[in-house]
Amino acid sequence: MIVDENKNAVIRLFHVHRYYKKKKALVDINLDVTKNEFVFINGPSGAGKSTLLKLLYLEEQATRGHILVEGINLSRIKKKNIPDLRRKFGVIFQDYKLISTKTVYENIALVLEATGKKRREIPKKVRGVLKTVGMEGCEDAYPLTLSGGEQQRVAVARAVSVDPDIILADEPTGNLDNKSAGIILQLLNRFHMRGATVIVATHDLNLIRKKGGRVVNLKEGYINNVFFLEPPRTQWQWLDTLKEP
Amino acid sequence: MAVAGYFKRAIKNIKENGFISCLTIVTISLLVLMVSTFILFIDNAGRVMDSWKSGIRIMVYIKPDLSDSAIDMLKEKISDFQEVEEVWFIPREQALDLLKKQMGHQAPILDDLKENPLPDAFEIAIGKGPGQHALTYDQIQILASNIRRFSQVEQVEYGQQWLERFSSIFDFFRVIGFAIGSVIVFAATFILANTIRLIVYARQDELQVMRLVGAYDRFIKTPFYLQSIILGGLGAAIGLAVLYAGYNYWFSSAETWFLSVDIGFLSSRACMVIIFSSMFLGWLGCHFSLKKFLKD
Repeated sequence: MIVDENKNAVIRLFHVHRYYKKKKALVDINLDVTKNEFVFINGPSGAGKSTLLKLLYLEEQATRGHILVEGINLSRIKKKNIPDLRRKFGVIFQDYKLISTKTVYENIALVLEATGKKRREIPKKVRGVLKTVGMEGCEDAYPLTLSGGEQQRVAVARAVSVDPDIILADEPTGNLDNKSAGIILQLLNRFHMRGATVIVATHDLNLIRKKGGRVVNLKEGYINNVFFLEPPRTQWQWLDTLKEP
Repeated sequence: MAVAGYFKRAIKNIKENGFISCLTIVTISLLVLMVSTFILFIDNAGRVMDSWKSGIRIMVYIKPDLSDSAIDMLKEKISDFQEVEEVWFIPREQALDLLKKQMGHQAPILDDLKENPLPDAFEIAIGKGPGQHALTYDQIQILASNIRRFSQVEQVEYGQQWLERFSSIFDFFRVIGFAIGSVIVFAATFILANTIRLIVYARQDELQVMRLVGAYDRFIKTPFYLQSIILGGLGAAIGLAVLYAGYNYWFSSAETWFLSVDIGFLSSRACMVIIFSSMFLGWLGCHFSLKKFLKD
């Protein structure tokens, strides 16, 4: 039985385990994420950051434990309700997952169409989100003709186009230079300010330093440390806590 | 999403995957061409067989010294059979004249006969059976044995051996035809499923994205099903068109008199059945392909 003590939590993980055969990807994870929180999931490669995000939007299922998303227990969700659950999330993938045979416009329009947006509203919505991420005028470009940073901005635009309650970003700056990474972080921050809950999985300490917020540090599938990093200027004293013991 | 919307997406998908779509259509066309050629062959072989069978005459030899009224009564009884189209009485004298004519210059041999050895006989033309099909060998055999049961009948002949042999050869061809046809249909489903799988493979990124952003299954699947049905229908139509062109080329110029029957093309109903079957196979192939990709 799950007792819901934290009423502001939009995501709750109770003793969540995820194994791949004998390999332990996540072990006994307990975590609450409150509404409109900006959380970093941090750790080295293989720590379980991506797996944790995948469990939330049900690309994978927990081996043990319970996950609640806005009160819905994912271990008991019916298959037919999975699409509705996924619509709560805007997911930004490390590899962007843009469809190379479709234009920027079509990439975003497809998601809007897939999530049931009315056809006549789609053009306006696409132009709007592209403007927000500073990619207006690129509607007819194909993803492979854009730089990595631009592709990731399109991916962000696609993720936020459905006005999600929760944004999940898996290594959103993993392949980007500092300037592009800064732009992506600014965008995420902007959507956070607009009321979205944001969870960013990253190994990039610089990114965390720039923004600040709660950091969940994973190591070999376990939660190693959870701490709050002050926003810029006052945060530097916390940096040492991120270093490996 | 409206059906028109799904159709638009299906057509767009076909255009976007032009090469694979063409490949699928060509594959289906070839398969349909093979199957429908076989059906055409079996259909026409059946027609030739029917025409030959409708030319069959049953000869009923009757016992000697029957009165005219007994002969009339027997004729009436024979005519009562549903399968009998016409009955002619051939008196023994007429039979002998006929024999003499057939023997030509050897006919004088018959002049030495003291008496006519031939019996009176009935010649029976066989009509169509139930369903307006020519009688099967078994039906002819039953009719002959029923006629044989009349006490006035001496003997019944209808080219048993020839007909039996021919019927068994045709039945053998038909069984082989169905067996080969079934194998081709099975292969067609398999090839179609794999070709459609190619389309699904080519678009698996798109499928994955749609799935992960929360698209309902019907939104993802319906255009694929429509696409496969359209490709199945198009492929079948092209296959049949090629067959028709080939049929026109071969059978409008070639002499087919020796078959004693016109070689006909498949009926429009058969063509529709082939097209709809191909569309169904498209749907089935799509179903198998998507099943693998859309596991949550």
